[in-house]
Amino acid sequence: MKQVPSRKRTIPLVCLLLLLLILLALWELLSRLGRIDVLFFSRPTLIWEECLRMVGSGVLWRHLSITLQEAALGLLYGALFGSLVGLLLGFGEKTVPYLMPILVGLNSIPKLALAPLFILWFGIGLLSKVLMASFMVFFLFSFNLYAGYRSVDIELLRTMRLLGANHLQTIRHVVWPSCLPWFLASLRSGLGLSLSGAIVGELIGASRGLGWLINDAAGRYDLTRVLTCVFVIIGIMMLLDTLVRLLERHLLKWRPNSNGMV
Amino acid sequence: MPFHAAEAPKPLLELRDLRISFSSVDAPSVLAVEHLSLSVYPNEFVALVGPSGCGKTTVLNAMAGLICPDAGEVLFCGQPIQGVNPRVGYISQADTLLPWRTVLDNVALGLTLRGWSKAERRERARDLLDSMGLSGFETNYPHELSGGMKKRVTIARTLAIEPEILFMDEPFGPLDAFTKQKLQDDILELWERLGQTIVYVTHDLQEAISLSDRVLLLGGRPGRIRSEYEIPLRRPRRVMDLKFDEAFLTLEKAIWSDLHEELSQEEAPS
Repeated sequence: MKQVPSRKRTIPLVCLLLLLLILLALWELLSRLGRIDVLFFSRPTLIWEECLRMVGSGVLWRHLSITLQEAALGLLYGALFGSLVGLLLGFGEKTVPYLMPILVGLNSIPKLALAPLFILWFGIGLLSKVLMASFMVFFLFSFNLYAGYRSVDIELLRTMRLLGANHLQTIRHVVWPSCLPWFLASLRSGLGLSLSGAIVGELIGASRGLGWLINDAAGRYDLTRVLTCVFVIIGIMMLLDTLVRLLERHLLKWRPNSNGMV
Repeated sequence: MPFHAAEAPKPLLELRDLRISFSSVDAPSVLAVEHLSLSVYPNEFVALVGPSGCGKTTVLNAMAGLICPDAGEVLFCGQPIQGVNPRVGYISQADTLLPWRTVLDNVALGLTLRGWSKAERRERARDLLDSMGLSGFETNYPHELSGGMKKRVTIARTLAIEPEILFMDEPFGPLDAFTKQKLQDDILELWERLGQTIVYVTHDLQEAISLSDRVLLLGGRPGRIRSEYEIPLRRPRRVMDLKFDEAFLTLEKAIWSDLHEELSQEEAPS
């Protein structure tokens, strides 16, 4: 139960890579045979070469670092304030009827569509993207942490009272650990959302960042560069997701079977 | 006060004319307990027995200070209690181990809250686990243990804070008969070794008689003490040996008929 044999885990991975390789080969082949237009769909080898070029010249890192910074700060603030609001909703159950409709209402806004407003309000610099990214994840964290708070086992709270715990000790030893799985789940979905928030913000109005790079390349019909950026985003997301999953596995090792569920 | 002690032992815990009702927004308030008085003396093993819904757990919660009675007094060492009584150990039917703490850290939980140093509390927790036959499981998480082992860990955690009185509310309810009997023997052994004062709530008459010095039979709606039985069975006891003991069976029969009367009264339309 503790460790899934490594073979069982590597076999799906190998199959996945194989499938990916076949698809890429098909793409390359159709492109070289002239069945799909290389201007609009590029070609894996071209993308690979562009990728190496962008890495070599430092262009990629210059823009990627900006985007990652925006997304990370956005995620940080969104997670912080979102969690805080979620937990406060839990503590002050009486405020729920007032605050919940407001939160639900705000959450129903198609948030990406607000990007132009954010640019107008907060300029084309870092701030507007950070705010955009935190706006994307704020609700996720507040709803999930509120749900987490409500899932706290009453028996455990009673046990803490009987053992003479004060409020802070109860929060530290029972409330927070109960909410942690909810927090980590939010973090995993939040990664993608905050990155989209930052990139869409850059698409609308920026002078730097991956979103700007994509917009700029698309304007010049440089589809190879656009697709290179898209693949870079996919790669970054997969990497970050794996990191959070490892973190989750480490922090939640007390849960039954959390080891085997990958 | 030596001259008091010479007259009669002073109760460790005393309930005086307790009255507890529960009110809710959309239902008339229910009177759970009324005119209930009882005393528990140091080193005594008292069992509270009664049909379900007679307010056993309510009485226990009031004794622990978890709920506040509408009227009457809860005295601990002669003093009225205020809020949750920190000198009480409480073991309920529920699994109350923190799932994110290892067995060792669960046992040390009460000591952590009292500000013991890591080394001290771990040493004490290790000793307790040892005495409960659980050494080797220190770094396991609760979900890796069986129901009986979890209960042992809970008992160790409760003993770690050296409570002056131990409350047990159907502690072995959900366990299988075999495990239950083993744990009951453990409790007997523990009581004999530590001289711990115990109040034990159960609906299992055999369990109550085998373990306790005194059985208090509760009647329901509202809950009150119906009758009281001294259990003069010889100590040390073992649950298995008692099952066919003559004196045990006589006691069981007497209390059963009493309980039966209580049940038929409850069923009769008022």
